[in-house]
Amino acid sequence: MNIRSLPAISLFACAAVACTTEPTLPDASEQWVIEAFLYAGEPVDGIRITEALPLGSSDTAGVPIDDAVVTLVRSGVRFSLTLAANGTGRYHYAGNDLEVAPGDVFTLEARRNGVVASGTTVVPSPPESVSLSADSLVIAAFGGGRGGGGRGGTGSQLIARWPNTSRELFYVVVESVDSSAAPITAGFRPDRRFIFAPIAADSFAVSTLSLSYYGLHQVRVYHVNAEYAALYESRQQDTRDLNEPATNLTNALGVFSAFSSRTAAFRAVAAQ
Amino acid sequence: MAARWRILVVALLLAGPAAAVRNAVGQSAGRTVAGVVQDSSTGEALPRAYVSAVGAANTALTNTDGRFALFGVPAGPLTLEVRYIGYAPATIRIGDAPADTGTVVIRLVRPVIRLGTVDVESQRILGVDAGSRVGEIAVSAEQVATTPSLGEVDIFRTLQLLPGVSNANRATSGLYVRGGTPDQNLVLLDGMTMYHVDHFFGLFSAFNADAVKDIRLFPGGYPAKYGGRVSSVVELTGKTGDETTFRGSAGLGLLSARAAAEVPLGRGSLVVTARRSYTDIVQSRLYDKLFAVTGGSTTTIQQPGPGGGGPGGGGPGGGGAFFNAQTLAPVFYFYDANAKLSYRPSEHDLVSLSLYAGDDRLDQSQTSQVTFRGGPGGAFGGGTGIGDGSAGSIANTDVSDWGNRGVSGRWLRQWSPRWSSDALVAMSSYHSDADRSSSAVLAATAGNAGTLARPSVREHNTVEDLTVRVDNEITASTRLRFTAGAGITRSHVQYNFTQGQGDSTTGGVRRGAEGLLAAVYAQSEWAPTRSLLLTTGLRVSADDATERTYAEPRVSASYQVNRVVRIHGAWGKYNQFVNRVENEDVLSGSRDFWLLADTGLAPTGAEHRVGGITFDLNDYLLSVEAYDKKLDNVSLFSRRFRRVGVAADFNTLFYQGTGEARGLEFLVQKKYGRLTGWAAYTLAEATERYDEVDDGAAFPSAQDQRHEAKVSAAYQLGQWTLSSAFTFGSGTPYTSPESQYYLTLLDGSRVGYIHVGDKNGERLPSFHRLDAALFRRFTGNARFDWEVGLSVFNLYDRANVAYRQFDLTTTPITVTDVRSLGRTPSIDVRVFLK
Repeated sequence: MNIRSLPAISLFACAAVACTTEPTLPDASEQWVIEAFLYAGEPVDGIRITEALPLGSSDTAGVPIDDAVVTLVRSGVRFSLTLAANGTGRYHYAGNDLEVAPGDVFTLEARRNGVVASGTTVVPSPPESVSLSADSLVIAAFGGGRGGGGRGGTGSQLIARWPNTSRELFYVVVESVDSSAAPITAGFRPDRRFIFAPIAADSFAVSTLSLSYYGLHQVRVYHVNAEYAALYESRQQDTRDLNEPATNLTNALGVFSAFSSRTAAFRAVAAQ
Repeated sequence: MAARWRILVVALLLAGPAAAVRNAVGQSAGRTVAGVVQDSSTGEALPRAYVSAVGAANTALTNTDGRFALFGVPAGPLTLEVRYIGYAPATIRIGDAPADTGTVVIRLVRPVIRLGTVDVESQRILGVDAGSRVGEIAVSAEQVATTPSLGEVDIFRTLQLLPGVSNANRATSGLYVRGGTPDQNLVLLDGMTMYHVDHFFGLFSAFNADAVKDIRLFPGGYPAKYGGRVSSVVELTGKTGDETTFRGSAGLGLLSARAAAEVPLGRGSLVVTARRSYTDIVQSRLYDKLFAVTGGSTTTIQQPGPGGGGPGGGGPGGGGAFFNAQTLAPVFYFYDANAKLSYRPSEHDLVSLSLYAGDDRLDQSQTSQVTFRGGPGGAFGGGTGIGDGSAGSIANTDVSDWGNRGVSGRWLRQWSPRWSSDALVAMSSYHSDADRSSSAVLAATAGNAGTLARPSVREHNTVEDLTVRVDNEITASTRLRFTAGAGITRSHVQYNFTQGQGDSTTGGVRRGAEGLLAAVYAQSEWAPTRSLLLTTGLRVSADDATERTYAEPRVSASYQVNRVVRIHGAWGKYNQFVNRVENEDVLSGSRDFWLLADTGLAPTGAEHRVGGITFDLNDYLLSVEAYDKKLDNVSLFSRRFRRVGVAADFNTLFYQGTGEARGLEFLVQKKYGRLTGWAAYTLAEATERYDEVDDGAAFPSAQDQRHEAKVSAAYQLGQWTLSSAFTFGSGTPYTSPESQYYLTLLDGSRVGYIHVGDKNGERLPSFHRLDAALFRRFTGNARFDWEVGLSVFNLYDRANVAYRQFDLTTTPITVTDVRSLGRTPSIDVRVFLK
């Protein structure tokens, strides 16, 4: 090494100057989002697959993936799912030989472009029982608009109860099942189904405020599986922490879970 | 089984020296030559100088007080050869008189090369000594002074150029030694443990080179004397000063000023050095540039405010603020001061008292007049919840303050030529405080005046320790040396972290621990033949915080195959009780904080294996060294895995895992002559694994760097010294947000999430940089000399990426590459009083 080395080193160093590229956002299209829910005793049609959104996107829905090969596996038996409708990314099982029952272990496989995403869930047991504090809920007449404070008084709520000693999560759906029932507010026909946030409790108060129709209603109490509970617990991501929900899927984002439910019925009646 | 074998090997190696002791005791032939090695101009004692008797096998290293003893020296006239890094070697002839009766004083000349009065071709002065001792690299003050810098002579920036040490592109002066992190290095200044080693976010190291006389790096497999860290040891010995003549110097750079004084006090001396930046008084363009690199900005910004929310964040966002004008004028300064009082009550005693204080303070607080707009806003970002068009202000508090304090008292006693003791009482403290909070105030004219809570983060971290230690060196014979000692350290570490919204707390950590660590060690250096040196040691530590005892056996060996070739190896176990934990922050870069190991957080453990070969070809040194480090109980703190149930208690978010670092280092050094320097290349890999992260898969450590190449050269051109340093490093890993997605919950609500990719799954672009410098020392008049240093950092203005920042508060989300410092010339002038 001699003095001539120094310019040589410098020359090498200068030659190594490369154009620096602007930072690019990671490619999100390679990542899938699977939302797959199985319900004991119900047909399989709640499986949706989409692409994740790029970081720079202001959309709120990913591009549906219609070309995945989706299979449910139970005890070694494979059930092929088909696309419900083009452009939706929603898959269902068209046959009638698949009944989801409590205790079943299902593996979901979604294959696309040589990549397999998979996850496993166990169909939970339904609540041991669901009881209601009354057979009917009396809807008081009210004068003002909705929320005007007119509904109240005696019989303005009933309590649904189920055993839950281990503080597991349940969620409650209250649904008007009488298609001919009259709406509580004349001329206003809102949804017949009210879904409430999961609760780690053994009772739920069904209020007259959550009803839109008179007539027969079902209170359906769903037992929530661990992976869904984890998802629900992470529903508020702090963007400082970027705490993501835990997933039970491999090679995909989202959740694969199953639910079992038990129902009880009551009737919504107008006050005399 | 393997552990039993290792214990057996260690026992056998310990048995050898024991047998040698018996032989040594029986030795009566020859005489003992004792002496002291000093600087010729200041009388400063030179530690770890190499003394040998020419034509005999007798060799010795000087102790901290510069003392040495050669035993069994043959009768008759004798020639001693003495070498010390940065000094011209000396040979001294000693007569036939019994040397036991007196002390040989050897004064080495430290040539001021830059005066051009020294024939550097013939003087054979070593700037960096990487080949004399296994597992030890010494760096001369001259080398530090001539290494290109940012205007400040910088010890750690020089160490960063050594093989196996990386850091060139990071915002810290800390050393990443062989895949380790800076906290895993034991940095000692006169026995004081230093916890934070840099100023100005790592642009300068915290040690004033004017106050330090000896710099040693033990990059792995280090001796049993050192404990409490798992990667390396950096030992800095402060100057004791001139005992006969007053000396002073003052220096001025573009950012700071410094002064040093050596005051003779009869049988002792006082050294005082101080350095302070004047960046809080004068903010030059260089300051603006440096500050921008740290992530700050001194510019005026006029831009739309953040929209808040987005996916996550609790809502759709929208409630941003329009910053009419935002002028940020940060107040920043740093200082450090050293003082060392030395006193010699007798020829055999040296008592010293050292003090160190260093601090950095940055205040980026500001108040901005704003016009609020938008909808309800999210929980994060600029969401204020204030309606459209309202006037008001946003007050941001952003204050950081960090630093070290330390004091040590030392008594060195030479009981006899064979036995010396070093008693130390040292106290160190480190503190780091950060307050980042803000509030939005709506003007009264808006009709709904009030103060709105905004996000806040507060951190407080302190480490305090008190150490009492005694080390002994006993030279049994020319082939056998023992070191043994004991010490206790009481440590107290506190970390408080609070994350909140206004005055309400949404989560945090409050973790404090106190512990007493008692350690004893013994080590032998035994040369059964002239070619073979075996070092065997055992360190045993009892820690009351973790309620456990830790045995740390250590072995190293070197074999001189012939005059040129030497092979060596080392193995050892190490434990670290005060650890720096990564506080993961995906968006703007992780920060670290210190914690004390306790029953809930196990100490980090390491096992080192090192092996290598060295070719010493007179003017050139070639070496190849391989290392493998296995770590357990490395720690991570991450809020990414937080669940709602533990939102308010972040103490459950600590994770411990394992790590491994391995690599191959190549070094070619030109040691002597007008052109000196080295080229080093390291091929390395560092990984970690936690059960809770990425399904337990191994991922690259944040400090993982596959390739690093460095070329450092200095050329003596008359009275000028021209130096350059080129570094190339492959990209270091980081964790990146990758995508966003929405899930529909069963209650019909739709929730958005940011998906974060694999831990450290992405890598920054590789970096390279050339720094150059020109030095000259001028002879002034009879009263002073002066020196000018011109440095150009990043000569070819390479736009290296220091780190990548993600801003989720904008729509769309923005990614910013924060660039390292571009081409930056600087000048430093020093005046030396004669």
